[in-house]
Amino acid sequence: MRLSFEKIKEISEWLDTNQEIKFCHFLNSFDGENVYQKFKNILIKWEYHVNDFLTFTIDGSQIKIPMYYILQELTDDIETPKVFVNNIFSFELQVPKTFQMGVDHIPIYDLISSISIEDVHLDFKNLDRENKQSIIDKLPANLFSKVLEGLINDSSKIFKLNNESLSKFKINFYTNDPMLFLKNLFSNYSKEYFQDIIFYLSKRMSCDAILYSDIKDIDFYVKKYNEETEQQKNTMPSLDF
Amino acid sequence: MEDNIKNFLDKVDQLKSDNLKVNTISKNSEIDCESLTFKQQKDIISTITEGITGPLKFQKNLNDIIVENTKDKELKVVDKLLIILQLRKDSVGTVVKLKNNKYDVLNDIIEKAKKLSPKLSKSIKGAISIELEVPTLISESQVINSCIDSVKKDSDKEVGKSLSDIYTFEIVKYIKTVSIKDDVLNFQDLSVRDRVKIVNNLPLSINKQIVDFIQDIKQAELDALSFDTESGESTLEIDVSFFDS
Repeated sequence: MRLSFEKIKEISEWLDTNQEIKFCHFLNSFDGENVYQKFKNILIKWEYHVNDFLTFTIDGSQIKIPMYYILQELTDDIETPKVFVNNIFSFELQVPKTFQMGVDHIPIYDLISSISIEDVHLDFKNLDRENKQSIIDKLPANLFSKVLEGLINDSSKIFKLNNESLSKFKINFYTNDPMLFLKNLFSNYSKEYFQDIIFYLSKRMSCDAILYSDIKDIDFYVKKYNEETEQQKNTMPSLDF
Repeated sequence: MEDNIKNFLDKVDQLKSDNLKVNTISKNSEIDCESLTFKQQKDIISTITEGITGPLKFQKNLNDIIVENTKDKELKVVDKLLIILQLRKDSVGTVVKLKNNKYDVLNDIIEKAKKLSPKLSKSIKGAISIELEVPTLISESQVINSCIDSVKKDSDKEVGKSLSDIYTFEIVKYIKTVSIKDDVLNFQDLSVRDRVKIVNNLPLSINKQIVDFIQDIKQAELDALSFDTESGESTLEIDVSFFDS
């Protein structure tokens, strides 16, 4: 998936006009077996096509963090399923397979990958949502509260950066945090930005070429065009006498 | 896959029926009871969004759950508190939350609730004689259903009307018979709507005696639910938050 200027423009319009379902489909179209893998691949693409840095606004001041550092800290431990054992009952939790729209909390049945009671094991991965829901509904609430307890106390799925100024920055992969983070990321570019770029660069380039470029290309062309314009200004014959 | 799901659900059923025994007031004995399921817990919690009918649906849910999990249709309203406390202990534990503080008091409260011994019936004699009886959970649910319908109909009117409806329905639940001389009206044979009409026409002095009978039961339950905190005595509220872990 290329994050072209045209694609970023389109996504920006979706987000401006509350078409979250399209955004959600877009995120889910990235490679990866789960939200963690998709999330990481999106950031890799972002680093390649859009920006090498992420800018965080903390308490009014802006902090630039290199994307390579974020990708380096985003370790695969997050996607390792976590097993909880409680007497005769055990269950395995994992990050959800896909991004979900319009929810603050991911349904619990999308986080459970298997449940065992004594010697009977049930793999949730291949069950449809209806079956998952009906099994969870029938679980005794005391067993279910163990699942919830496991979920709430499991910090292994929370991504944090070892940076004091970013201590408030957390992405919990058991929740819809990754989706919200990406929504903010893709909301960085306003309608005016796209208007300005097309108006400015179209004097020098075809619109097709602009739309096909990625944001990093655009930044490069703007810089080059600025230099060119500046140079032209300097080589213009002076009318001063 | 289907077999696998069935085996798992069989195991869950076995687990639910294996464990729990609960004490009752009306039978003064222990009975088998299945644990609260996640669905039941969810259903209880969802009543929070139901507005003025929420507390009524909450009570009806509790009744339905008790009858479903104990398979006992004879249990009475006075059994509700003790069974619910024990179900809550089994599903969520003994710690309760009050104003952001946690108190491990449920065992003590259950022990106090076990000692409750309310009067299960009372006779009011006079020109109009009334037999009062603590209703079964099933008959209470019947009345609650009618009350919910009535409150919904009145929902466009003032809140005071709805509250007055709920008050009348509460009295209706406890009346077994109303007699004037030799004419005996058995409330179980009447529709809830007719029962309400009769209660609305009872003399105030009789209503007061019925309310006193109900009040004695409720007050004893409230006393059992009290516990000490650092800021004095508090009462445990049996509402939606009680089941929210």
